[in-house]
Amino acid sequence: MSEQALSASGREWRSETVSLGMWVFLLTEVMFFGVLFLAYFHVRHGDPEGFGIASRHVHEWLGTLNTAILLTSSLSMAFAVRAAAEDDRKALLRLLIVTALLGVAFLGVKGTEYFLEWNDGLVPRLNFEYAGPHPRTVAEFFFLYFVMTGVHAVHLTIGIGAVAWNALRARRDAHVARREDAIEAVGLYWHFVDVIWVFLYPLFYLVLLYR
Amino acid sequence: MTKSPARAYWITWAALLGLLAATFALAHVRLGNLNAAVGIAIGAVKALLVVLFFMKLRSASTLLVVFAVAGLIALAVLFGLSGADYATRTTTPAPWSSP
Amino acid sequence: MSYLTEGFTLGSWLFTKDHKRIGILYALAITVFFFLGGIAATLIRLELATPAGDLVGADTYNKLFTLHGVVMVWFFLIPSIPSTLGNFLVPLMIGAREVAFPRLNILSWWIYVLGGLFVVATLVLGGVDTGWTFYTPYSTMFSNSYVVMAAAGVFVVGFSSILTGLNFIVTIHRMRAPGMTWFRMPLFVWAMYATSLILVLATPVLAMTLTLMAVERLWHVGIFDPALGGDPLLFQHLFWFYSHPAVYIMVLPAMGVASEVITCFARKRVFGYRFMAYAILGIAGFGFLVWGHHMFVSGQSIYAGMVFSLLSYMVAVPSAIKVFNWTATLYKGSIEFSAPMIYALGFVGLFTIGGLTGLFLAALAVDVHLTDTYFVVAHFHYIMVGGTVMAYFGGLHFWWPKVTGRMYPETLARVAALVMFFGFNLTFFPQYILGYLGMPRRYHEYSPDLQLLNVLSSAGASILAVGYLMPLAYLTWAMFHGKRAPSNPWHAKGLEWATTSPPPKDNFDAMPEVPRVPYEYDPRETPA
Repeated sequence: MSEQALSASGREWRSETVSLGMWVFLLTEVMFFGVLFLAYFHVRHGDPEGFGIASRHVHEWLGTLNTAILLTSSLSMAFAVRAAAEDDRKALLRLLIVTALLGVAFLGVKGTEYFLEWNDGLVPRLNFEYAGPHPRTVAEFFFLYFVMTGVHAVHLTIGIGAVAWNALRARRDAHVARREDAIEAVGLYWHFVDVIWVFLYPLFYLVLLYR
Repeated sequence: MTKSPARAYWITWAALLGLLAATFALAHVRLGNLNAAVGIAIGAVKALLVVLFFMKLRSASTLLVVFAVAGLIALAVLFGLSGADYATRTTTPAPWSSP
Repeated sequence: MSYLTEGFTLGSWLFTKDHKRIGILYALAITVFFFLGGIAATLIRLELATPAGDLVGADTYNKLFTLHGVVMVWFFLIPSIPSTLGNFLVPLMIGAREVAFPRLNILSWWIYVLGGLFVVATLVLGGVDTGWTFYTPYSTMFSNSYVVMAAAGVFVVGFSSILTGLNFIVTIHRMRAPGMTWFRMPLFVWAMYATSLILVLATPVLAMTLTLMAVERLWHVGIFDPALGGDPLLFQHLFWFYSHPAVYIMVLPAMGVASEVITCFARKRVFGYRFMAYAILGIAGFGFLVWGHHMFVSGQSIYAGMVFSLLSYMVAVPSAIKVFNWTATLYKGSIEFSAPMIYALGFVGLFTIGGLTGLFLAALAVDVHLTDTYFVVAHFHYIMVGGTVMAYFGGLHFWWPKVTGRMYPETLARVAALVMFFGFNLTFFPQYILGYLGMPRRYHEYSPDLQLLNVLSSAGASILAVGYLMPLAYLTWAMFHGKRAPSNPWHAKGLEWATTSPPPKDNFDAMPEVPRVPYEYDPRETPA
């Protein structure tokens, strides 16, 4: 059966199959990140006081801004999936580009944060000049911070690539509904990366903020 | 896949940003140990909104729901049983190890 | 026109999307690693033939058993049955024309090869000496070997496991033929499904844990070193969260093979089919709850130890259900001792011994005496070699006519199966006694009064080696010169036997019908 001849019911079947595949893949991602969350709780439980002190060195306003950016990108992604289902090529292209740009904006803000933290000497091993109380926990905090947000940023970068790739392919295609399964899968992945961030945000930016 | 109405997406998005503002504001209020719990709980609600509406789990087949929940169960096992160790372990640090 | 004659170029194999050809690619690749790991095992047993450390030094010995463990676990046992027989058979057994994601399937094989290259590179550069467990702090702070390279190999090969598992799950959910309900699926497919669940849930944990270990080794930042505020036991928790369920990744497929072979050669319906399926899922589920029994003497909380001990005993329940049901399947059957049947019966016996000695080790107090002795070595070899490898060879023989379209030489095969069974027991049974007497594992020297049992074990290993080389020789011969196989040489009932041997590229010329469970055997009927 050629791709063009795929009937609507066949397309729906394929779309559900790809969705299931993506959900199973996201299951592996949950376990992958789960290790880091366990490490996080282990360190935080070991020294809550030092953990709070450490978290006062991240930029909570930038983190909040980034959360808003990412949540908004999920909105445009959701609309993009909808546009693909409705075979609305123009809307799909526009929404995919908006989504990718919001992703890039997130990475830009994140990069700015990394830059500021580097200047403050808060990067364990490479440039660590913190000399206040609880130095060990502060180093552990920033180790986890860089690993977890870093792994998240890698995932987001892959997501941006996938969105851009689908935008490129949709540009050359009269019937974007045929790509519904792929765009649906990219959408699920994108939202998942968003969900991970939704947890990273309170865990790193909102600790002991009331001091 | 059933199409969700555009309105539902906008409402979800508004709720997400509202919760973001709420969690940011609440983090500035001294609640003691509750601060962390509130932060994670609001995060969980936001995640649930994304999963149910943007990822369309609300209208998805049971199968997808099962796979979505399976990861949480496995993580609960990992956290629960290793936590059982950490909660009840007695450590005897060597005399030379720093506190 | 069969899948074997669809193309003869190298490219038609290396870039194939046909699950049957991918199964064969995997079989070839894991055979290479099986013999690589086997060479390490041979050197280990040669060294242990005398109490003195005369053949290799302590350092080399450490590298040998590490290489043996890493290669055998991740490059042979984990992919053994799922990636070879599973890839070949799952679509055939459920009446599908292909797997859900054929391109991911061939990608998984290439990822496996890439991971294998890392391990070969480790070996060429000078090896790794941490043991297959990569325990911190040794791996992160003290070892002077190629830890990161080896861990990278394991990390990479993990993704090939994940892709295979993902493919099977989606295939089994979405691609079953009309009429193939869940409770009409062969038990082999049930086993593959449960195995796949473990693969996707556990493997990512290993991948991230090894990454953190490598980061800590390279840059001295991380969560496992107490001096940095971490905890070395966290590594063990995470490692065994993967590696205990990994045992079930190895043995569940073996159970699937045994179920198919025993029912066929006893000419009897599988006893308690539904309970067999539930037991498979039960073992997969309980498998995630027991990892702490590897850590009884590690400094883990004694209360957590009690919980893990109790949960470990519970695994015995579904395992026993399976053993009883295989036995009940044999009862009043019309049993034919063909080569696959000898392997399958060997599997049941050896798995039972391995499983029962597992109960000794699950007992907290007994484990204090037996931890890190040869008793443990004997126990897991009974499960992994006596269990998985026997079943793998059984499955290889059983489905050989289907895979290659040619029969293997039956008499030779029976002799090889018996040689393997005898050699295996002579190798590993003395190790139970050695361990009980207190011989620790992972040393290249031992007390002279333990020599007799060690010599017996080494002698057994040489017989076992013959047992493995025989099938390599006659199966290779049979691939080209064996008698042409009919579609269904065993008069078996599964869907895979309803198509030609070897099957056409699209598996079935006409869409198969599935009216019932594929076990409608009758012991009173002698197959023609």
